[in-house]
Amino acid sequence: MSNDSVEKHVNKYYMVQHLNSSVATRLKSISESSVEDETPVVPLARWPWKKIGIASSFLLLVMIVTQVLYTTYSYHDALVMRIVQEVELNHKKQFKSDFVSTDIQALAVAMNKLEFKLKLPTQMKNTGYQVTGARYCSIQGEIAAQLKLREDTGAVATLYVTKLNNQFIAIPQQSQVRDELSIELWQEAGLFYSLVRVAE
Amino acid sequence: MKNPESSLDELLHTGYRYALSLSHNPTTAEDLLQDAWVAVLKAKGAPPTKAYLFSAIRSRFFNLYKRERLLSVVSLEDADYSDLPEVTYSSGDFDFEMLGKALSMLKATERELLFLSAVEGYTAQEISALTSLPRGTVLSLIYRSKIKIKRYVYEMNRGVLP
Repeated sequence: MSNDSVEKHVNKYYMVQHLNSSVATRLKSISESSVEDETPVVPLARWPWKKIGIASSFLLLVMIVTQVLYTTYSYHDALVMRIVQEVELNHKKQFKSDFVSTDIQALAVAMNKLEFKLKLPTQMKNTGYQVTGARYCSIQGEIAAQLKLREDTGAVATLYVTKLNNQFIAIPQQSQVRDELSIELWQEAGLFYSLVRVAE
Repeated sequence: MKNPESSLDELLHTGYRYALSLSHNPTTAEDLLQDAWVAVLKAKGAPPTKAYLFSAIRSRFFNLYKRERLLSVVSLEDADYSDLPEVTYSSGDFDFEMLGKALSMLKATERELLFLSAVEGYTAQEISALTSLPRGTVLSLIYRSKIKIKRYVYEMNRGVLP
């Protein structure tokens, strides 16, 4: 008997073996319900890792940008708060003027330590404010001029002028009222201004 | 064109036979087939190809019976068949029950290779690709399995074996 005949017998042996019909029916029904109803479960190895990576990177970028913006705005908010507190405190101290003059040009010449040319902002020209004197001060470490002004009503206001440095440039124009004082911050022609006066 | 229902039946029966060749136990074969069938349906969402189903059944079987993987193999060139003499007798000596017993004496991998060759008609190269065994080893094991079966049947007929 040859080895080939062994193969034939083995073939016959297995070919008469059949899966139990009830098991076959059950497995077929599983396959039909699987095809109709189930979303195929994607094995972990075939997950779209590239897309997940891109999405994760994008999410991380958004988080970083958000954090940077939040930190920046928080920093600016804190800076504005510090400036407002500083100018308010200086206004309330009502220091005597070291340079007495009603002429802004004369004050600009006299205050030669300033790193900028002292001038009144446009919005204060031809208004009811009168300059009465000035002194040196600082705002957040930056040398500034503290001008004493008198309103038509007789109320005293204080105008701060300093160079528009990298800190102040990011501060938008704004005004707020604190302890019955109106405090305005704005920029103009390369200078940073702050006006403190009695709130209306 | 084949009826999808009948091709599904055919696939299930083929899968069952393959599982049976590995386990030589009808109940275990059904369990293997069912386990593999459910797993591939979940993974692919559709009935698998025969090769995919075989692969799923095979990996489950060897996970269950890891010791079977420790099967020692001998290449065709190095094989020593001095203990497996050629025997000669008629095919009438083979009966169904005896062949079943002879197959049960083989190791799972030997039965599997014989099944793939004799029943599925796979070439040694195809079996090598499916089982990750070297082609020479496949040929060696198939040859050795046939000799073992013939020897078993011969000795049964002589009344040497119970």
